[in-house]
Amino acid sequence: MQTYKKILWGIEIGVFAFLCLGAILVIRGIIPRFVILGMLAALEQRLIIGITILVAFAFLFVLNFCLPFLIKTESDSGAVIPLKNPLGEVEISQKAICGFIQRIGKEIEGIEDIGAKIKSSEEGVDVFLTLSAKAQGEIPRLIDELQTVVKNYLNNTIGIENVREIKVRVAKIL
Amino acid sequence: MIKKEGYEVEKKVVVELIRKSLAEVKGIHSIQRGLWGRSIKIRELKEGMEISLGLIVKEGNVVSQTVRDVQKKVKEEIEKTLETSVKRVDVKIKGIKP
Repeated sequence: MQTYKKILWGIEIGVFAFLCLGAILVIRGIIPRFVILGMLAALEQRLIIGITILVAFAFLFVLNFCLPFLIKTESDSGAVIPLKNPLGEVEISQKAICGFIQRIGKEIEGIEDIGAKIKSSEEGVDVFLTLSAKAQGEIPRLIDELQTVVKNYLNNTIGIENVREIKVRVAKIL
Repeated sequence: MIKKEGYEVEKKVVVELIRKSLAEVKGIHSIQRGLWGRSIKIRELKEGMEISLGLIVKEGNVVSQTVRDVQKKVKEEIEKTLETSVKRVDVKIKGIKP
C-alpha cells in the first residue's frame, strides 16, 4: 500500500474512533451534553473556524466514498506478470491468468473445482494449484495431466517460457 | 493535445484512432474501462508518444502474439495518420474471456 493511502486510512479510522469515543462518553454522561453544545456554539461564532470545520467534514465525507475505490485499484494492479517485448511493456494481471487456469482446469475430467495462484520472480514463474477431485479417477494421473495442460497453456498461449514449478495440492476428494 | 506545426490534435482523437485500430486486430475481447472514463492513456514526451492500455483478450489465441499485433498495429496506425513517432505501447492484460 502506498504511503498516502495509509495516511488517508489513518485519518479516516482516527476520526471515526474519536467520534465513537465522544458518543460513548456523552451517552454515559461522563461529558455533560451542554459542554458539547457550548463548544459547538463557540466554534460557530467565528466564521473562519466554521468554514474550516465545514471543509474538514466535507473532506471526510468525500474520503468515505473514495477509499473503497482506492482499495479496488490496489487489488487490480496488485500482482502482474511482466513479459518482455521490444515495442513496450506488457503486463498480464494475475487475475486474468488465474481465471483462465480455472476454466481450463475444470474441463479436465475428474476435477470438480480448482483455484490458482501465481508467483513471478526473476528465476521463473511458480504456480500453485488447489483442487478438489472426484474420487473415481486416479489422482496421480489427474495431477500429471493438469500439470501438463497448465504448463502447455502458460508456454503456448501466454508466452511465459520459464515456468519453474507447478505445485498441486489436493484439498478435497469428493 | 498534440501540437503540430500550425495545428493541434486532441487526445480524444488519438484515443478514437487507437480504438479503431484495435478493432482490426484479431483476438481482442474488449478494452478495459477505467474507473473514471479513460482507459487508454497517452503521454507525450520529446522522443515520442507513450501509450498504455488495458485489454481483455479472447480465449484460444496466443496472448503474446496478440499483444505484439496490437502494439504493431497501434504504432503503425498512429505513425501513419499523425506522423508522430510512438516510443512505446504498454499493454496490460486484465482478463481472458471466451
